[in-house]
Amino acid sequence: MKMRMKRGALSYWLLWAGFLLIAAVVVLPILFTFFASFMSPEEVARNYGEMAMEGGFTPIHLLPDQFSLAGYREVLVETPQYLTQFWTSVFICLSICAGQVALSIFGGYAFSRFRFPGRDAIFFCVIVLMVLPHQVTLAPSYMVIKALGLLNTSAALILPGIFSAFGLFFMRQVMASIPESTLEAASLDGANSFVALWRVLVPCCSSGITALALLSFVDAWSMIEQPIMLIQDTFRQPLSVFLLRVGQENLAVGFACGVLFIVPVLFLLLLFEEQLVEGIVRSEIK
Amino acid sequence: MKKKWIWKAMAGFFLLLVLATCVSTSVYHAKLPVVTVMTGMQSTIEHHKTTSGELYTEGETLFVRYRILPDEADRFLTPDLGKVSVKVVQSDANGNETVATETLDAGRYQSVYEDESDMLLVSAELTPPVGRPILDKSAVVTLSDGIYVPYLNVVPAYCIQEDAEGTFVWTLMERENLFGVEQYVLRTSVTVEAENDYYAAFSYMPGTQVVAATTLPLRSGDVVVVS
Repeated sequence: MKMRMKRGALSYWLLWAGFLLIAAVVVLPILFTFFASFMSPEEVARNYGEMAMEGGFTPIHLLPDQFSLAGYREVLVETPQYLTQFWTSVFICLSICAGQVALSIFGGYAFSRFRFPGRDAIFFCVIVLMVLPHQVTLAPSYMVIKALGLLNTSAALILPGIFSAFGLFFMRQVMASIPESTLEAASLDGANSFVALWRVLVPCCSSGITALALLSFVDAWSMIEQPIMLIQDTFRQPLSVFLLRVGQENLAVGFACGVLFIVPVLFLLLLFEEQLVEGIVRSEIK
Repeated sequence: MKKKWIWKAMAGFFLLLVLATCVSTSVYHAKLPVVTVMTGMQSTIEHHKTTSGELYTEGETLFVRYRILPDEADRFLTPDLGKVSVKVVQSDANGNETVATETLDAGRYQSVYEDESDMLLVSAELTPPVGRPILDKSAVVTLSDGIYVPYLNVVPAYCIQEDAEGTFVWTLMERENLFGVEQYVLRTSVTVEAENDYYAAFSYMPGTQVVAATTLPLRSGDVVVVS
């Protein structure tokens, strides 16, 4: 009996140690970015200068020796380049988010409520697109965008971004969870398809729509490959591209930009946490 | 209650970033070099020839002696004999002596043929500098022939810069940015085709805008404000 209790306690602590290790791996980079953003450029270069070089080993130096706002001063006051890229990110993400939500609502409505020839085949194609890595479609996207003359513009990112196979699939699942009787009641009251969608389905699926908006915003916020490939001018590229290219010479600025980059997503998650969970539960994608 | 606090914090964050964008844009523009720009114009520059000469004295009169090809003699000795640059020693109020270049006007001249080199040896009388002794016997003689040659790109001579890599001008270029169009400068190597004390002609695209003056030292690619 005693032996079994001892074994139980041991596995309990081992489990905890495992969880703590995983939490440290997940949380440490965020803490690391946050604290390093308050280091002076000299201290950052001294502590992490080798990190930017290939093959360099850097021991983790979490707390700053001397508190400094030099990185933030550079980002917020000295050079408008970073904030320009931040607002470019905001503009691109909001456009993608709005377009994707609108398109997914209409698509989800069509797939969940209407019967038309080839519906299941098209939906199968959507699922295939969903599981396809987006790197596969990068080169064809480049050719289409070039043919449309949209290279080096924000539209090059927004237009391909507003269709999302996952968004369509997600909204179809969310709308399918609403009972048919609700729509029948609306149609008995004289509502046409558009009114039924706008007045009945959209309010009923608000948590799902919010969840999709949040997921699409976060997805667009962190996109890297598309802007690198489709936009050449630095000032037109989103901030995520700058963070990717942070080097030894601008490491301090990179940490400050990193914190600024995390904050909007953090706010959105805190604001719409419940809707996100509810929307995912309603979509039955578990 | 919790949500209200988050909404307020998010609004504050974005408001701060809007303000920071305005401030950083203003600071950035205030720090930019302000440049004055000249456009290279199609114009003429007086043709000239530069040669080295030797100073000598006869009695108390100062002369310069230089050689010139016979076929050039007719062109360059009429109508303007030219100017002679010599090095002089000048003293300031504290008695410190420095070497400076002074231009003297050449007066009466005479020429004789040199048998061995078949060149014309020209001697010209000079008005000596007052109170500033001449450092050595060498002189640079600039001769003008009164002929004005047309060039495609003529700018004030001070627009032409020189460094270890050669002669260049700062050309003004334009590119798009998020706020519209911004101007920047590029170091453009040029060949000076002709120059005088005031103007220089350089080989480049006609109508090129070049920087004439700047408030800060420039580097190639620097964004500038045109005054």
